[in-house]
Amino acid sequence: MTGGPAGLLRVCLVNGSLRGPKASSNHFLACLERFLDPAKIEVAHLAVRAKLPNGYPEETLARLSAADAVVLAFPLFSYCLPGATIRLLEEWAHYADAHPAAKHTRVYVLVNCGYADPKVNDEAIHVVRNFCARLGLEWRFAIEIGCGPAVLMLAPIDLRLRRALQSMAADLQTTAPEAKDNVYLWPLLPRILMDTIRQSLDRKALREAIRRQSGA
Amino acid sequence: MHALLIVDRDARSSLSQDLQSKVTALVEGKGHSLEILEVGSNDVVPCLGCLLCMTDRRRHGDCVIDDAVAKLNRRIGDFDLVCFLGPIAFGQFSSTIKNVTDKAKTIRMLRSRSLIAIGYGNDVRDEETATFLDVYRKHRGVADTVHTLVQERFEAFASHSLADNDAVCAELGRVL
Repeated sequence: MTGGPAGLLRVCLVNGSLRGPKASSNHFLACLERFLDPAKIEVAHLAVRAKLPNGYPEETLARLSAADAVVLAFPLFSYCLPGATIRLLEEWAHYADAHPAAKHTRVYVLVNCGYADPKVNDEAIHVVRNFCARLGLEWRFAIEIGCGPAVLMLAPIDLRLRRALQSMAADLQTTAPEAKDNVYLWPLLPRILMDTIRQSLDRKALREAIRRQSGA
Repeated sequence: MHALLIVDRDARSSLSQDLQSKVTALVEGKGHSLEILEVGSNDVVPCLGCLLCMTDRRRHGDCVIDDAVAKLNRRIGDFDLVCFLGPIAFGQFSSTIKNVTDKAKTIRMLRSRSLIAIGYGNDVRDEETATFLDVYRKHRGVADTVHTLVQERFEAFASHSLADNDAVCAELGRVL
């Protein structure tokens, strides 16, 4: 790692949700940041944008390219990255093509989905790993979270979340060579409750679709 | 059958144009009517994740942003088949088509519903192709991710070359 000013590690925390500060992704990043040592790490906060007639500013892409580590936090949309998040990766890839650097940025992911089973996030992780392979970035590991808002709701008593974020923070501050295994986090709330809420929303949407179709 | 082909206007290449013309000929050759919707990167605002389309009764399922997909959603129930055709970026649709799949209310296709994803790219790697196919095939049946109550057909194909285009269309012909 090359380090930033005064030898600090430069870490970019990227909020890949367009919900901004309210997003679960942003809350998870904030939880992670509490475990980062400001004496060792210089943190930059970046966020995806909805409207980009001219693309991301060069400053944003340069900051990503120059980072020692990037933590991408995003919600799962249709089993992969949201359109807004993949747009940022596309532009980062174009920038990296035009500005080749010998940097081995380390990449981490915090992904949360609306399903109780966090393994549903696996394909999204494959997408990010493919991205890292293309750009020659160093893949580290992901924390895959089932039903992000439910996990956040119980975050103060969820020791597994705390341990997972601590292990990511510790890895960010080391130079361990091998990538670690992904961490799966199921919500503490009973699965039957999660499924009931989800099915209730599904039924509501289906009723609405039928109502529209029949012109009622 | 009334089919809709959604293509990425900003990612045209000889590969994509060949694929589009072959898919068009195939669908029309089967006697189906086909409409083509070309979208560009600034035509669709990405899904904000506000969930108001699901939770706000007054919105009746509509998006808070009136863009090309919102207009499509008003009449998506008229189609029996929607085919997404776009470049593969690291193993999923690139942003323009992904913004459409994130927001398209395919649940409104109550008459019958077939969804097809065709990704393309000359320099797509094998792992990226595998991921792309997994994203759509592994979860078929619950492909309309928000609305799992309605089972549906979701097929995925990937093309790296003009020769692949023929193979994709041959497979697609069996599906249609």
